[in-house]
Amino acid sequence: MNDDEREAMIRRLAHDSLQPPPAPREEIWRRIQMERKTTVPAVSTVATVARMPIRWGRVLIPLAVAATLALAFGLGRMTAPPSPSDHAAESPSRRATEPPTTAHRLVAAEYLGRTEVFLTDFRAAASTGQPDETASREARRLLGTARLLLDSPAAEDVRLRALLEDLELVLAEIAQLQRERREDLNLITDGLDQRGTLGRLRAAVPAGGTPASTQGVL
Amino acid sequence: MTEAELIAGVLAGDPAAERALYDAHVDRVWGMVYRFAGDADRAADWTQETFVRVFQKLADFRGDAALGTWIGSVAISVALSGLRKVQRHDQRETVLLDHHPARTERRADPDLATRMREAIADLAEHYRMVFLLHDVEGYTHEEIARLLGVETGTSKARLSRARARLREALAAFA
Repeated sequence: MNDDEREAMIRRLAHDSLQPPPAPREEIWRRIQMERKTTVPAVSTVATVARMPIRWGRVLIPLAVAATLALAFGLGRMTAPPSPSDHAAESPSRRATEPPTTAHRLVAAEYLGRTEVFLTDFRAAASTGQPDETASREARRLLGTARLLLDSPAAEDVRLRALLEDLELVLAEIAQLQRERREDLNLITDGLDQRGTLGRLRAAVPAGGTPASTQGVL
Repeated sequence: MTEAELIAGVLAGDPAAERALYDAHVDRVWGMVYRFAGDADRAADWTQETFVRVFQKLADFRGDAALGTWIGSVAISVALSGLRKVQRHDQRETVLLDHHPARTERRADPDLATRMREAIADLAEHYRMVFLLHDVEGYTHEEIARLLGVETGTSKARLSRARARLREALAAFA
């Protein structure tokens, strides 16, 4: 066997030995549709929220509170007498960025707390029966906030970002949940269990409801 | 429906056109990414990601090449990105061996086919990519060079090296 024959044999063997199984067309199509539903409307969700003052308000209130806290924190830093240790321990750039980081952490902590309560209730409702329609509405509201946080500096924390992305996925699934689709409900709760989302969420939410003492991912 | 009508339909948001585009190209995309991924779960993930990107970026398709070629390049981009994230060659070999013994036994000597899969899996990633793209998927060196961001000569050299490694691995069967 010469080199050309050997190479032809190699090509033929590679073709034959690497034959894929049939494509799971329907499963992949379903997943594509689900992903597009959860990712494409990201902008339109914000637009929808913007047309609804009550929802906007519920999203903006925590942000406004956090912004106020950040401002207060910043003013406090500016008016307090500087100590030598402040200058020794921190660079000017770090001092400039600290208040927004604190504000975003406060908002994130408040958001994670609300989401934990919601998912815990949802999980309990799923195990005993069908969650009611308010679950989907609440999921849509929390989903909008998750996306705002993902686009904010708070998401620069790698672990928080991963948690928010998981929450975005599960909240999008719940938001689209139809009452008659029991198998979808099982998929969501299985996903929650497999990803350990609730456990990670509980670890991330500060104990005692004191956002300033955030721990875990925060 | 022509390719142009299909594209226009997808861009207009017609669900039937989206499904028709998917049906027309999913098998090729699946086959391609499966050979790179080595297991069905990952191949399904990458096929999904390929079509999500295709639908997102179809407006950018300028028609310089056939739609299938463009979709293939998206699939390869997804696979390359995926391979950078996961480097699990051992599992890849195991899954490939577990999945289709009947198919390979029907087509080729089982020992030789098995040895071939192992030899391809043992290739360094940059050799394996060029070998699969050129000898299995039928891409030219110029196309591979563009896809991988290397010189044409580099693609040729890597193919030559990959084939040499495979010849060595299969020498006992020659």
